[in-house]
Amino acid sequence: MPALLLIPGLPLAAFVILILIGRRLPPPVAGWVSVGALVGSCALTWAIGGDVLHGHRPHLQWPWLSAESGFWTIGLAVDGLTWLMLAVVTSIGTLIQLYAIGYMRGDPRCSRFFAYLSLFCASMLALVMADHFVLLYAGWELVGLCSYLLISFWFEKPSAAAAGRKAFITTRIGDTGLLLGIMLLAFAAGELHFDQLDAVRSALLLQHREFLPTVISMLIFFGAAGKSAQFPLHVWLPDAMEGPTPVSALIHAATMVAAGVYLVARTFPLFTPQSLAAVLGVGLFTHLAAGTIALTQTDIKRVLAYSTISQLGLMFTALGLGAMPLAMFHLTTHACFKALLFLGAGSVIHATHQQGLAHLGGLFRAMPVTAATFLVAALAMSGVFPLSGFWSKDAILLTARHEQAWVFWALLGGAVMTAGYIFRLYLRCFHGPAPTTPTAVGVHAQESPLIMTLPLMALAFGAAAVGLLGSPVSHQFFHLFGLHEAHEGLDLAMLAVSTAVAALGAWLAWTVGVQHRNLVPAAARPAGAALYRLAAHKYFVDEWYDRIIIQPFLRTAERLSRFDLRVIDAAVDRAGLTGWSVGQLKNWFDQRVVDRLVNGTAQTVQRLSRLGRRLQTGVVHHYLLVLTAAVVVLSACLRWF
Amino acid sequence: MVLSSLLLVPLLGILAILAAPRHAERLIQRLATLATALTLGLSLGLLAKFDPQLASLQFVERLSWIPPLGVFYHLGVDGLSLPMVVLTTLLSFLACLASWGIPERKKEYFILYLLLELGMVGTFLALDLFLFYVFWEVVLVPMYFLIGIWGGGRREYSAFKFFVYTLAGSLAMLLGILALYVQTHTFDMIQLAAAGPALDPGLQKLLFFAFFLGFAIKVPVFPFHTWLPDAHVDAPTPISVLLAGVLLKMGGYGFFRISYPLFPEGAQWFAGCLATLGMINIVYGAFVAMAQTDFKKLVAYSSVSHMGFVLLGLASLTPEGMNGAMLQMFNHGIITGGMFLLVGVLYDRAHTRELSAFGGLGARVPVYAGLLTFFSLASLGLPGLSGFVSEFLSLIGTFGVWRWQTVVSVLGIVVSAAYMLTVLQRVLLGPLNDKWTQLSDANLRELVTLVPLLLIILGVGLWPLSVLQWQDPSLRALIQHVLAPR
Repeated sequence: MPALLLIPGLPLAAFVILILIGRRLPPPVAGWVSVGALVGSCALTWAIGGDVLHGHRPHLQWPWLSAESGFWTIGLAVDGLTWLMLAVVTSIGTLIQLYAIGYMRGDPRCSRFFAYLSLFCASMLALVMADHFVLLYAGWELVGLCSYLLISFWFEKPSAAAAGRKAFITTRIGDTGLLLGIMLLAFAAGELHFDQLDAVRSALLLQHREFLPTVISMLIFFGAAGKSAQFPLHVWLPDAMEGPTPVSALIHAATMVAAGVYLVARTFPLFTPQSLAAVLGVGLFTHLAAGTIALTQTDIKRVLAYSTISQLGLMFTALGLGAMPLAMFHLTTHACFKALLFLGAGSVIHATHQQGLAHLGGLFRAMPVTAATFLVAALAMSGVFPLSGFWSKDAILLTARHEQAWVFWALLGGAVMTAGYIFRLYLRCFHGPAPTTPTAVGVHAQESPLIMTLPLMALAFGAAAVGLLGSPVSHQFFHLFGLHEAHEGLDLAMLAVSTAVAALGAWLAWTVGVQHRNLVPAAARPAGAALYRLAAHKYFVDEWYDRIIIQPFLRTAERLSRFDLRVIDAAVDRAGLTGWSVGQLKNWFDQRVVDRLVNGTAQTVQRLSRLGRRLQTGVVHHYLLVLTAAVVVLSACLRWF
Repeated sequence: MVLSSLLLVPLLGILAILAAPRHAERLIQRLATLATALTLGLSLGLLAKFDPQLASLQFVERLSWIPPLGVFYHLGVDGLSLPMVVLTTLLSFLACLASWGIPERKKEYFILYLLLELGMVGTFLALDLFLFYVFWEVVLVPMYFLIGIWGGGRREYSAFKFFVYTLAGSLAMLLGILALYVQTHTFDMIQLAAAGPALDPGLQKLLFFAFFLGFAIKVPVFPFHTWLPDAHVDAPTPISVLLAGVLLKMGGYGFFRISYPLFPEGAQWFAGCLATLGMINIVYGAFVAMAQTDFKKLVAYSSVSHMGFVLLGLASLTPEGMNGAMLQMFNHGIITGGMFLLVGVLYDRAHTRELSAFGGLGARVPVYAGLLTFFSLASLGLPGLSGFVSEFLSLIGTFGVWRWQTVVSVLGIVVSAAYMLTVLQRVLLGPLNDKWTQLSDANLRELVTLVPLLLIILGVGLWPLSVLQWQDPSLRALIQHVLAPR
């Protein structure tokens, strides 16, 4: 099935073209190459959509590490879950890349930017289409790489360079969990294909009870938490906002960070009640904690980043509740409205070159399209009927009410915060007083060009309408997961509660966030201020990590390096020196003793011979004398003895 | 005669250069390049004629050399040596191109260079222990002079350290060879592989250990590694490439060719130790690399870390692990060879290797930046590039056997990401240091040396079967031989 290869292949081809000859192409062409490839993938995805919905499963395999063993056969496969991710990535990706053509206009490294974006799309598509853990892992690492390259795209800024590295290393810490999970699974079950996971689960449960599947699924979840920025591995995502805004929209909001949710959904059969409880705990905690931080941030993109972390937490909460299709549903609606929010923020930044809330305000008149679409997204995220966020969040709330009531109440609290921070952002950007500082910009700001506003409008439509696919009106969305039973229908009580909660959040945003009225009773104010400070500093997690992880890590490296030099290498040098000293000693011995003996012998011989030479006078009488004396002495000796 | 021709061509090159006048430098370097290119061509021809289905030795040549001792001139290749031979001839050719920039005494340089290649290729071809030892030692001498004369920094110290340290290891190996000869009265590795396993297990362990010392210093295994950073840093660029790319592999190859087949009892007895040492190499090497401020020294320590995966895979005695170990040797040669070339490119221009001296080069030299990024990513084990395949295979093959050593080793890949990205950040990212506004990008000759390596990294990464198919049958036969019940 060549279409399967082409879906990631087209963006890959775009990457190759752009990286090799991109600099020679005129800037807009680079963007269009990238967009064109993704449009192709998008069209192919939608073309196979009908088949997949009817239960057809296209599959393509090839040998990877061994020609004989089926264990190492990897390939691409599409089922409902994958198709959904494909549709999200290609459709939203296309809109965002289109927007990026406008946003990145004039950047000297424009072609590089689109090359990376294309590589990202190819890797992401390969990740979701992988039928084997190792191929997924490959895509997983490659999207991490693209994220790194794009976060540090404006690498002249030291903060961008540092943020890229932080993102890569933090997610890689999570990846080691995933890698260990894969190794354990390969070892314990001898199977790494996703379509065998149900069988693997039963085999593992039979052999090892729940212990091993729990360990494996927790390791996998650790990897997912790294990619999806869940506590305690969330620290990289806010810093990732250093990248260009279309990157934040595509990678750090709509698609890559959702890969963690996808991974858990994909490996859902391996999750045991114990590990799901952990997923629920981490997801819910992250949802609430990130929500409080988002309420206090003053940088538009950072508010949105914490909002993303929080919403991903909500998806993990849904997974933890066992409602995998609902998590995927929220992933889909979130992708629409969060991409829209980021692109709207990008439009504001593009027009004003400001991203601090203190420098923004009253932009509604200058940027009506941006403001209106942003409002749609804000309403959708707050869960206002009948926009998409309502349907997905509502379904999760309903499940929580049935499953665990305390989760339901916690999620309602989260919903108030969600509406609160997003309306605080919306109101302070587009309404409220325009700043009066010299950097006042609201007056000069202009609406962004059509190539940027068109994707905004398309996404606004999506943010408004996509939810209907999973609503009681049309149950189409859940057919992807093979769920055909009728939905329980619209719960009017929930509708009322949801709307009331969103309204409460918006009202709080207006009174506290824009009008700066302090609603906290006087007695509790010091505590409230302390809490606010804590949240505004992101609970000091970064500082804490620096102290307990990064600094000890660097110190360990330093110490080991010194150990290498001063102990191991020194020992080698000392051994060498000892050898040399032994040589010296032997040299001394040679000179003083051996040589002296040799020399002494020579000298003795010399002296004796000098003595002997005296006899050799050349005078015959002397010789005769010696001869006579010798004869006399010898005969005397003979006589004697 | 095809294997002998691999040795003959460098030898003829040496003779031709000897005959060339000293001042004809261009002629000399062309002759050397021609010789290395021919050797590469011959080894590629060998690759084409090699039958990957067979696990046995091919193209065997056997002539009596010293009859009273039973020493034979005995050559042959199988799946264990072929990748090493190709790696050697390829890196020798590319490093020869990189040697064109050697400023002085080119005649001596290239003579020694070709002698080095002769020794390296011979080591991988020899099937007679005596011959193996001869080639093994032949490598040492030119290396000593190449570092000591054309190197930089404390070159005499480093060259001396390298020479004496390796020689000390060779001595243990020589004793092992003699002891083995006394027991079996043959130097023939094939006969020894049949006779060795029948030796007394205690003796096997002793002999394994004697050979281990010789090979461990070459690999190098912690704590015998400290000659490596000094020798690498002070050697001229092309020689660093060969040191890291080929010489370290001689140690690893020794395990595959000699220690494992001849002393299976010893191999199994030592496997736990080897896995632990591999783990230490991986993690310790990575940590120490993290602390380096000299670019070349950092790459040198990263070699220590990467060679750990070879030991880890060797210790596993599983097809995955052994394939990973063997492939890691090949991959490390290509990747780290490329890294040293890249360090050299920068050093030639900037005359410094201090990481803190750079910054922001990404904007100034985009091609160089792209290459450095690519090789760094390969080095940190990015999937899709070759390093990932071998590291992954080593890890997954060892996991079932040496669980904790593998788990700790996995942590090494986080550290390797940390130091590699630190390099990229310090060299390429951030604001451009004013000193380097005139820096020129990689030139054609440098590209010619780097692009083939890049293509191989990509090719093996995407289609690992292309290399694995050569070595897999031989490795499976080896595992079977080692684990055979006695």
